[in-house]
Amino acid sequence: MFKIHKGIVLIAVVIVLSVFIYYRYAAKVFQASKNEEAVLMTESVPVGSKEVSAVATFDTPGDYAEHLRFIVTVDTQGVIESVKTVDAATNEIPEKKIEFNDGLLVVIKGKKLSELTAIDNVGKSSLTTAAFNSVIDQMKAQL
Amino acid sequence: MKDFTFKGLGTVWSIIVDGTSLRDETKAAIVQYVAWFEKHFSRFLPGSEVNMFRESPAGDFVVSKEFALLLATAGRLRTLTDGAYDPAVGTILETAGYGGKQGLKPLKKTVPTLPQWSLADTTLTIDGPIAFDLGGIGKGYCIDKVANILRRFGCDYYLVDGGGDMAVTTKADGSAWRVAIEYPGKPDTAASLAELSHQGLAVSDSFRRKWGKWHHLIDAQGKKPIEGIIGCAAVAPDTWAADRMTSGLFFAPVESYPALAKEFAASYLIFRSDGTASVSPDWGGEIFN
Repeated sequence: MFKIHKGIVLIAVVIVLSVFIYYRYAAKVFQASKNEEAVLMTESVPVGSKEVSAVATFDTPGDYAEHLRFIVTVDTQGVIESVKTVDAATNEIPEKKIEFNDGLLVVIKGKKLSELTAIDNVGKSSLTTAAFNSVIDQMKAQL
Repeated sequence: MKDFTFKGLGTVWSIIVDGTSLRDETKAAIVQYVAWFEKHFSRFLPGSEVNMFRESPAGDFVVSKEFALLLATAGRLRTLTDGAYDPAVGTILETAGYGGKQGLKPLKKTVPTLPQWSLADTTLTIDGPIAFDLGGIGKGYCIDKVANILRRFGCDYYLVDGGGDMAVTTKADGSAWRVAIEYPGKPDTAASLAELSHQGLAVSDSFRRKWGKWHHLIDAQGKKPIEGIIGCAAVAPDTWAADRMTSGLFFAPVESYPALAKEFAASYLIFRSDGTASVSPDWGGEIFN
């Protein structure tokens, strides 16, 4: 009888210890992953497009936390217009995080040059245009 | 609005000056320099310095200071792109039928071994016959030189357009030049609008000089045309840096882009064949979605 009681106590101690360890360490891990969740913010931006930004916090190999703000501008259709990343504290582009941005793609549909106002010049790959111009008469002749 | 237009390096140049007028002696000096540059560094001219070693045996050769500077820069770009960019690719271009005298039809199907070269000061060491192609670094250099001539002749506010790449100061009132960037392969369509002041812009695409299965952009290591990226634009403190940046973007793996951006202090736009584009975080221009 006494022996069984001793066994129960042992089990109880193990359970208490497990719970203690869980809260002491595992809860910390969960808390850390909670920090990584983005805090969404919305700011008002003129003419139809909307700028949203979120701060992400994560640990670096250097053993300190980084706070980055991702800023995305979307138009009324929900298409991404621009993406940038800034340091959440200083609002400056952190140099070593540039590779983050490089993975981000946008779709550029383009705009007719004739729709742009007060343009001083057009930057282009000269040879494309030269090649295009060189065959334009031939193409016209085929119409 | 264009104050002066002329032909050089196989393309059309135009110059706009603000706050002053362009004098005839300035125009003459500019045309003379571009002609000199073409004569010395064009791959299409038999007497140019880049073609001087076409039949040379292995050995050391002293080159001009300007050619040494261009080759040293090309060597640096070769390092940055892990050998994918190499001016010695001129030899391969010729085999592919893109020589100065040949037509546009590829002549041979086999690709020769890439000649080896190195440079110490103004001494070029080669392992045998070699043809250089300074495409991707030469024009930007020449545009900056033209800008220098303008300043020397008292033009403080200008836009130098060398066939779509350009060097600018501000306008006389201090405002930036507004420059549209054409979408690669889509004439009359702008992908972005950049406001430039005291900067250089370079725009490059892989449609140009494309025929058969060859682009003009050939990966020296893989010895085949670059696929995937159809064009790119770069803005840097000067046109030479912007020009080298666009070449780097074509040839270097994506992981190297931050290092390239740092080397050339450049922001950039990359157009991919699937219709998407990558925009560097510091790209200042408006993007047209």
